[in-house]
Amino acid sequence: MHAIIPAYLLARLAASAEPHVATASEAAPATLATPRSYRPLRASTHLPVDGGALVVEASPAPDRVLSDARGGVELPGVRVRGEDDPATGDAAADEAFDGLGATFAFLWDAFERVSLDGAGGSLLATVHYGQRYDNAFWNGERMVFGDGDGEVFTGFTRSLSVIAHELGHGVIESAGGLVYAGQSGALNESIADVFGALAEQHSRGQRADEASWLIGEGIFTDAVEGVALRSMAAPGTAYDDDVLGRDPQPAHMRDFVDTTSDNGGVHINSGIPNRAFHLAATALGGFAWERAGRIWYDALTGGAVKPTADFSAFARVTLDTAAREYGEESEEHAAVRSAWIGVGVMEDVVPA
Amino acid sequence: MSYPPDPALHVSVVRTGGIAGIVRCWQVSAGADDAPRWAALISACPWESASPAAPPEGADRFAWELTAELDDEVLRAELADQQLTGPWSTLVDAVRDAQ
Repeated sequence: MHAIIPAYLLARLAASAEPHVATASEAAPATLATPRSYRPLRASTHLPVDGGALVVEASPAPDRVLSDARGGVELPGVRVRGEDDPATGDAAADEAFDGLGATFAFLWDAFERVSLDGAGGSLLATVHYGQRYDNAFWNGERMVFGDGDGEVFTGFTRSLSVIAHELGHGVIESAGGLVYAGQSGALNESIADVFGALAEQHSRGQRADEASWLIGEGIFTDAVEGVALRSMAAPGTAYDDDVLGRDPQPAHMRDFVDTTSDNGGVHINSGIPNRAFHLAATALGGFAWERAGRIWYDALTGGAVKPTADFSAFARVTLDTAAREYGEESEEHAAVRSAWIGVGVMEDVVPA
Repeated sequence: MSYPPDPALHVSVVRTGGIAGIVRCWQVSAGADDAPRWAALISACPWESASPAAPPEGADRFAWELTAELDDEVLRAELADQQLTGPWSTLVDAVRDAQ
């Protein structure tokens, strides 16, 4: 039987420890890492012999460009690594490069999306931005990493959930965007966290019940009392520190925070839709990107979410998406509905 | 935190946003001997023309709220991260270093 092996299967083979696929496990990473020569849509090709038959495999490959701001704030900075260049030896640049690649592989494997724009666009990043700059951000076209101040943050490139969160902002923008203020801004933040958590789980081969659901695990210094920036499973519990205070995220609409800071609390109230995603994903079980992630992704990219959408508008679109793809009586539809009820965005009432 | 008695001058910096969404505050109060240096740093900033923070480009940028009190005068500015350059940046760095 002749078959084309999709990239997601290759990736799964690569991650497999099963003895009967050991050879394939060894071959798959090489396939995924095959040098690419196609532009503008780069692709890896694979020509294995399967029982005497030639099998052709092609999957897209990223086009990454890493730059170094060398402590300044001019972007993009000096180009230090392109797609086919060897590692630079600089940890931040090489970690960012690997994180971009892992996020690209996740988007393709989980959603058949080729890069952030869905059209194979380059993945751009700048490291060593600014002096004691303890932040990572998306500037509309590239992700930018500071080195941290050494007091609170050790740097940001070591966390795949942070890298994929920033790239998630790129996907959201490409899908039509969510205005970065108030509830639509908190949805923007939450969906970026969903991308961050799922890319990390995908990279680690973790199922929903095995995952930490933490964003930015391990980027605090030892001086900070905290495990991560945010917890999607238990918003409000990621840190409790003398200097930083306590994680202010609510997990339910009754605790929604009204504030003008942080663009109307976009990094605070994102805890509510974050918790909803976690509830849906853990109710369904398995790999979270396969069903809960698929529903969120299709809702985001399906054209029904307006840039000014609030939580309940987005919730309705996820519910419609689940009904369309899995049916109104499906466990997926029930899980999504229960999740939004669980965080107080939808009411648990039967229409009269 | 203890301030000099009867400070002639007070500057506070509040930073919100960023990927962490963690609010950080820094402040400094200066007595008469130190006031001229701070007054110079404050007056170098274009408070009058500090417009409300522009809509942020991208995501996860910091937002800054600066307040300076000199005697009876209170100056305030809200700045997007991209606006924190030149004398603004110098003032914020000085406040962070002084704390």
